[in-house]
Amino acid sequence: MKTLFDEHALARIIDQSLVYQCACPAQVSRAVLELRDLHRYQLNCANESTNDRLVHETIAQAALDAHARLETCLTQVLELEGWDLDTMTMPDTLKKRPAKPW
Amino acid sequence: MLIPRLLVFDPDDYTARVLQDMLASSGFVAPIVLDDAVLCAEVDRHRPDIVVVNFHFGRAGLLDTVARLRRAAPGCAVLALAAPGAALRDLQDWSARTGSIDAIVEKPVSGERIDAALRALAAGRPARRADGQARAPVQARFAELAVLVTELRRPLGVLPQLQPAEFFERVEALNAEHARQVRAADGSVLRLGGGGLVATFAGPARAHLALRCALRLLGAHAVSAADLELAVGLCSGLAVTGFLHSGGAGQYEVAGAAVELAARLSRAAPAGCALADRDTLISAGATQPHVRQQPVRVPGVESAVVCLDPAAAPHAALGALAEPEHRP
Repeated sequence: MKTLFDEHALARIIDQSLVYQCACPAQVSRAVLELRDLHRYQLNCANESTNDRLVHETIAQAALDAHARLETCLTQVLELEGWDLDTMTMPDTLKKRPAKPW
Repeated sequence: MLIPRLLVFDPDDYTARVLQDMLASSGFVAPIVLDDAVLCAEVDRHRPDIVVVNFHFGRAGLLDTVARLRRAAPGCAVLALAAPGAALRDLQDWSARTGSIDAIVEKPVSGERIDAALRALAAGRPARRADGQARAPVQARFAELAVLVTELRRPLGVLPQLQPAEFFERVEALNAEHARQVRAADGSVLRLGGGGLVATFAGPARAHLALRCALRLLGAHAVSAADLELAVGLCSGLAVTGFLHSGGAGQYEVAGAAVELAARLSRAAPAGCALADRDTLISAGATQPHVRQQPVRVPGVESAVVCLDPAAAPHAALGALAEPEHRP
C-alpha cells in the first residue's frame, strides 16, 4: 500500500486535535488508519475457497481506493487549514477553545 | 456516586487546557500538570483518584513517567488518551507488560466516551482504596517459543459410525498419547481439546525439539490403527506467556502470532503431514526436510512453508535432524 502519511504523522495530527469538535483532520487521519487495518486484515484473511479470495480481494481493493482518496483529502484539508506539512504542526489560529458544549 | 478527583498530565499546554475544559463541562475539576518532573509530587499533593494522561506519540519519557507514577501511587488509577494506529498499539503492548494503565480512550476523544471511562474507573476505585493495596501485578513476559499444534480430523464416514462417547474416548486417547510424546520431547502441553492439542517448546533447541516431536507424532500415528487423521502445524516466534486469573484460579496461557499461525498451519497441512514456517526449519537445523517440493502458501505466513511428510520418507526426514546441542 502506498502512503502519503506515515503513522507518526497521523498520530501527531490526532494528538494535536484531541477532541471531536475541533478535530476534522484527526477524523480523516483516524479513517486512514482504519482503512490500513482493513486492508491488512483482508490480505491476511484465510481463503478457503475461490469465492473467499474474491471477497477479500474486492474489499482490499476498495480499501486501497478509499485510502488513496482520503490521503489526498487529508493533504488538501491540512493545506486549507494552514498546517505546517513538514512538522505536522497545527497553526496557532486553530488553537482555540471549542465553541460547542461537550 | 462520588465525583472522582482528577489530575490531568499533558506535556502540551494547549491540549491540556482543551482537556481541562472538556472535563469541567462534565462536572470534573482537574488540575493540570505539564512537567513530568513534578507529576509525582503533584499527585502526592492533590491525591487524585484518577490521573488522565494525554499521550503524544513519539514523545520520549512519557511511559517512564507513568511507570514512576504507578509505583509512587499504586492506588491511583491511570486513564490514558492515545491516537489510534501505532501509538495505540505501542501503548497497549506496554500496558500489558507493565500493568501501569487502567484504561485507554482512543483519540479523538468525545465528552461522552471520556466521561463514561472516568465513571467506570471511579466505580472500581473505592474497593481498591479501601483495602489500601495495589493491584497484584500480572505475571506475564515475552518469550521466544516454538509452538506445535495438532489437528485431529475425522474422515468422512467415521463420525456417524461412532457413539458420541466412543468418539470422545478416541480423541482423549490420542490427545493423551500425543501429550505424553510432547512431554517426552521436553515440550509443555498448553491445552487439550476436541480438535487436538497446543504445545510449546522453549530454550535454545526449541525449534529442533518441536520439529522432531512433530515428526515422531506423525510417524507413530501413521503406524497406529487410529481412524482419526492427524496433521501438525509448527511456528516459532515471540509470544506473551503468563498466568491469567480471570475466573479465580490461575491458568497458564500463551498468546501471540506464532500460536495463531501454528494453528493455521495445522489446518492447512495435509493429513499425515506437518507444515512448518521457514524460520522454524532453519532454527531446527533441518538440512533436507523438503519431502514435498512445492512450498505451501498459508495466509499470514510471509515465507512459504514447507510440508514434511514422514510417512513418505521417514528416515530422510528424521535423519536430517541431528541431536540438539543444547537442552532447554
